[in-house]
Amino acid sequence: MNTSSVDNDLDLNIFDPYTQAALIKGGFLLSTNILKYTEAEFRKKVDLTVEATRRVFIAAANISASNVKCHQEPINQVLTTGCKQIDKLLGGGLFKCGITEISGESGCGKTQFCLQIALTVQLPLPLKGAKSGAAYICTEDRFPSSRIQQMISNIRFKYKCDNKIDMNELYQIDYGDNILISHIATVEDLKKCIHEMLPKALLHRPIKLIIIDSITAVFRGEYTLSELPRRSRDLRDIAFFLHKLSVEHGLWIICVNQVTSSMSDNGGKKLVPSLGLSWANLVTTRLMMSKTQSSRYIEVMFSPHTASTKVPFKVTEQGIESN
Amino acid sequence: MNRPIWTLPLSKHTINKLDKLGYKCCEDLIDSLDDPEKKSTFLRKHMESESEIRDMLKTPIYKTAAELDIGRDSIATFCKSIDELLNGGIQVGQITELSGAPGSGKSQLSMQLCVSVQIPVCFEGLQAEAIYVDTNSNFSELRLTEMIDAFLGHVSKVLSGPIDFKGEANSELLKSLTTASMLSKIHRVQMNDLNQLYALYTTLERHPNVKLIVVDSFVMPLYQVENSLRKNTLVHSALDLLQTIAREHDLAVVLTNDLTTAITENGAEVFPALGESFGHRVQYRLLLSKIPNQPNEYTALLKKSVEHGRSAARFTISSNGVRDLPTEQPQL
Repeated sequence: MNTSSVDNDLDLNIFDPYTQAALIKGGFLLSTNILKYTEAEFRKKVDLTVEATRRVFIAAANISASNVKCHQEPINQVLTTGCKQIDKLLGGGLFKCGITEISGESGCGKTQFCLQIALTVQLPLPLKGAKSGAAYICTEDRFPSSRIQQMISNIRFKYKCDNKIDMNELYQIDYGDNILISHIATVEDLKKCIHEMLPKALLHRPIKLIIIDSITAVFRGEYTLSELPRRSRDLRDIAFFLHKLSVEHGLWIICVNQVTSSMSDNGGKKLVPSLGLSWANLVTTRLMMSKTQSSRYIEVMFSPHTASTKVPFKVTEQGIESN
Repeated sequence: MNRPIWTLPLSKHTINKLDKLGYKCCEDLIDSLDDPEKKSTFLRKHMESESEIRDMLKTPIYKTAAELDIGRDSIATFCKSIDELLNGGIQVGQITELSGAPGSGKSQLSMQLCVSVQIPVCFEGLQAEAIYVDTNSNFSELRLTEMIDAFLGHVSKVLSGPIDFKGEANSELLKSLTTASMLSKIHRVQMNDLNQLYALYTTLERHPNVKLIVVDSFVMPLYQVENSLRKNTLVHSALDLLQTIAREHDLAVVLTNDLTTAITENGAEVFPALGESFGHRVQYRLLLSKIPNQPNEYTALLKKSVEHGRSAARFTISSNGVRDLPTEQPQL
């Protein structure tokens, strides 16, 4: 059981003696225990009056709801992507809480984008970083360590001219050491990683960013056509749990998605993010990258924070930059 | 015809006690409540308080259709075509469902309503507050600030205009509106379980002037529930609660709902989640969607309403908020 909720236990003193006795007799001293039932079920179970049940539920709900927002930091804290244009496109940067999805064809810069954020999250707060580490879950290729080393050696130059902060602070960050990497090949592994490893890692390390590159790879193979309902349930569970983690700990979650071509009504072929509705329903912000012969674009498909627009970017030695 | 005691929502314990004391119908109970001696004998054996029992025995109050029509209130959006679709806006005292694919404008419309509900009385608004129950982290202070700024811009334009706004007091009030004060009238509550909606009672006590509750999204907390029967129970008890609150406090409830794919004989079809029985419980159902290949154009289809048949409205979402489509198509 969750030990922290014991402190926030139901305060029996606010109830009348009979209700107190009934709650003790029924063993309902934790708000989570009470809220497993609906009001009507609970009333039958402990034999309380309508009013008293309502009071118990309101008290329990207050406790339970206040546990959700235990995370007191400002919710509108943004994380820079390391590129001013993209930050502007996103309404200031990446917003914490909720899942940000980035999709696009292979080779249009999704992984570059993720690597860069894994570094910017370590920047000090005045530079719109979060001064914390990242967890990077790879499902497709091996983690591109040589590329990240290259980016690390460049990031110091990038912010050199910024006099908002102490240079020493910037140099002291051990970029490589703050990124936890996990390689995963199957859905079961991914579940294990998300449900077991991440909560533990979050306790011991100052991690504020989780990147899954990509969520699609593990879901492409494993399922047969008849198993589609199970697939969407697995997807939903993973997305739901990620979302829950992000709200509880105030995290940024970035998931990379592939694209599928879909036949639109007017005959044209169009690339849409994979995984369908059961996944998309749980995505907070959806970004899409695309590539033409000469340039790359990043587009906001939907986001609660900003309108959908498109900006060009380029991939350089330093990472992702605006043109 | 007498109403038997067991039809009252009393606990089993009390009903047994009353039965032993010889109470068979509610009328006996009413009589003995007026008799101080009898009252004390049975109240001693009771866990319900006197006021609770009196409350149970009260005849429900009814209103005539004419009275109801006078009391009708609605929250106008900033989009005329949606207002017309809903007969003046989101109806107070009712539950309105907004469903749509991700990115179809559900959260945007919800946030717009949180601003709209604050329109001062001299602009024929409700001048009230809003509660935003955030379950999917779609609440965006940034967007709300933009929408409020757009509204305040409109207000200051009116103030500087030729029309004198119904006296000194009103223009004072309009001048006192600031982004921060309007933002503070939108109370955000984070939840991850539908049973936590009971906490709304406490929130409402603290902020009695709330006229709008948005639950965005209503389905998010249900994704963790495996058992579909259980899910149904939870949905309906939450709807009972919201319906009660809507009626008691005379406020509008707006729920957002996701779309889901279902395999039918004609192939895969997309429709709002939570099934048919949910549809019966909400009074207005709006299906929002983005018009493909048209940047920033959306439709709202009225799927259910007591006033209108199926009809649709078009709207756009600008940085100012949810608005009508410009009548002239801007040159591209």
